[in-house]
Amino acid sequence: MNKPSTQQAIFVYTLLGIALIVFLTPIYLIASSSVKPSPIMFQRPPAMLFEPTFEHYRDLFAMRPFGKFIMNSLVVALGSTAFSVFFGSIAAYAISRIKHKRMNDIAFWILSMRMFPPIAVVVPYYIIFKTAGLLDTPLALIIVYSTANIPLTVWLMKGFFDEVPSALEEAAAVDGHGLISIFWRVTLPLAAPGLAVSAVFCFIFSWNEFLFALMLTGSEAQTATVAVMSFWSSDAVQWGRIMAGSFVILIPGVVFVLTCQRWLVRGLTMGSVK
Amino acid sequence: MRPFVLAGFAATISVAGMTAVHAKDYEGVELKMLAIGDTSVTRLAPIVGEFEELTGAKVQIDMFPYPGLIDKIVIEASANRPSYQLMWVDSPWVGVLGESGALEDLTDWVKRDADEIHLDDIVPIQLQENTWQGRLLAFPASGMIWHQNYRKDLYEHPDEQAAFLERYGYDLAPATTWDQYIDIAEFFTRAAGETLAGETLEKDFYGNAQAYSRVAGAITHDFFPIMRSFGGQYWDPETGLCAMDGEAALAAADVMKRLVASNPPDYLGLMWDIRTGYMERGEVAQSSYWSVRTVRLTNPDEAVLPTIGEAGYAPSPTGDGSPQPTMTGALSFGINSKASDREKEAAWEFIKWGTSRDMMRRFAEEGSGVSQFHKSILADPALQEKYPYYQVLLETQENAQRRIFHPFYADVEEVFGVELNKFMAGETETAREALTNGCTKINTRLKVFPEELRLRWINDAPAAIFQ
Repeated sequence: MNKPSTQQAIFVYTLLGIALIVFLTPIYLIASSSVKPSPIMFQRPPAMLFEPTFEHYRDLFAMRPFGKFIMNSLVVALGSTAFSVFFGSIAAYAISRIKHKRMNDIAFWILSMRMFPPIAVVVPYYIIFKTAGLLDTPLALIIVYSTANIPLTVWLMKGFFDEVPSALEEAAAVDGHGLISIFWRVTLPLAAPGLAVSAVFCFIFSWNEFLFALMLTGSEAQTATVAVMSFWSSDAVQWGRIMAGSFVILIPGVVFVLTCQRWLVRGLTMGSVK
Repeated sequence: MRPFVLAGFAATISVAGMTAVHAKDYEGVELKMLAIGDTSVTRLAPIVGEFEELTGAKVQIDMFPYPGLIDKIVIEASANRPSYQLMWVDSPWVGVLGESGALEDLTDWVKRDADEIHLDDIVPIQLQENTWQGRLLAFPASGMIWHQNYRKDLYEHPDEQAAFLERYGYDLAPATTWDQYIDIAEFFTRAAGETLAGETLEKDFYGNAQAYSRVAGAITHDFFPIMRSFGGQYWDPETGLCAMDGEAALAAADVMKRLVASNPPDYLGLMWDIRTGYMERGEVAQSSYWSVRTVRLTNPDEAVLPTIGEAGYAPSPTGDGSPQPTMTGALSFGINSKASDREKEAAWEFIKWGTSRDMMRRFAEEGSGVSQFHKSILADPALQEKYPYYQVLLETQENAQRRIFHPFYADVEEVFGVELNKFMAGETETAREALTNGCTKINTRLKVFPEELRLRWINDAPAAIFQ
């Protein structure tokens, strides 16, 4: 591959710079608004230089048990992600390997679980969890989110499993490995990038979800997204506190994605067999 | 200070009396309240332990976002064993909550405890705000009106008064008609570098700030009060269908359109609080909005205005200057109709405690006065000095009319929010077209229902409390 010319490099870096500005501006606005005094929050032109205040962060944790809500979000998001990735991978492997004329129908049926509008099932979910005594518990949200995340994982992982050459599994079988061992020791590691992608998507969906969290939780299992929005009341929208909460909420998501990033690049191993 | 001391003494006596009456009557009862982070709740949440000490009932307040809360209440009310016994209620919701049977009728309790709650001292319209088909479904925790706020320091500046008189031929004073309001808005709209009250402006100054955003129907919160100030009504009393395309509605849309020129340039995105922010920073000459936000105009921790000028308060202007009923609203507490009898009794005790006159006075003295609904508090000279808009709140509610209470309130807010916003943005050519579109969409939904039902929905049957 030829080394890019200076002009090409300038062009590429300019594009990258613009993309960075586009993506980072909202984060900058969130961060700056979170330390901006309320009276000048919407001043025009926007106040760029001001004495930062941490009162919004203080209020965030003083007026609500926000630390607990963050923990709830973590439990729900990690729980749903682990549950979805585990069962989704197994289901995807089965769909990928079992040759049956109805297998595509089953795969489509699983995908169709994601097609209904969430609002249509809020009330049934509410009644089910109320009856089961699971309302306002993290488990209720883990179950609900998993119903949305498992189909996604199945379809993502099926594609990755399809890419793993069957020759590798046959070789492992010849070496005496059973089905579970082949799946666990050979196929799954090679599909690790798929696991990472699935986990990232599942986590982000579960972490950000609002509607079910609003309807199915109270003070015990309330998640951070709902807690942040609770600063939107009838007499005011407390933007400073909302921005402070939003900034805090950003952190675990970024950490999780960065953690998974290492696995995302392991897709290189997909070319291990010629 | 003396009135405050006396009031505190009275409150202490009252609380002591309450202790004797209740004496842990509700030991073991646990109440949960489905609420928002509104001042009517946040000022109460930290002190619910006091109620537990008095009655034995434990109260937990869960705060949720305003958007979606009504849906959560409706879903909660559909459960046979409710998780929440107490509900925070915005008065326009009483229609949908009344039709769904979500809330307990408080009428008999209010009658029974009339002396204890000082029923005669409560502004009547605030109770009517929570009435549905003659039943009182919630009890006010904060009462509000829609009124005008203005830069009193600018209005009283001699240079500005002289210039205004010369230009418009009448004295500069809080507007009593919308034409005057528009004149004042136009007069005070100035560019950076021009002079305002003898000083050179460093940045643009605007004549007024009204909400034009379609988000959460914010524009309707300004449009409907203006429409009503022209004598307009929401519904046709003959058919129960939308009447918000009549002459009064057209006049209101015209007022808002004419005010665009003197509004900040981001007017299409101005929601309630972003709009009030302009007034709170002292960047506009006048702004009309709900009084729940007015308290900030005297608090330097929440607003810039107290440090650079002074706010004044006046009733909403009207079409021709003749009196029109002031538009009111109430933020209230209700009881889940599915709660057990014992829980309901305990919940009513909590409502009485949390909205009592003594408690409201205590809040006012501590600084979270917001909007009050007891006549004696609004008329208290010491509190009027602290909250100058109390006088306007008190006087205007003598002639007041409640907000929309129709079960299709949310639809009206959403549809007209979009249609009016499009007209203000120039996407729809005329006000008549915008309003006709709005009414057509609403009527399409309403015509599914028989006329008898539609007429019942718009019937503001008075609460049976005063009978």
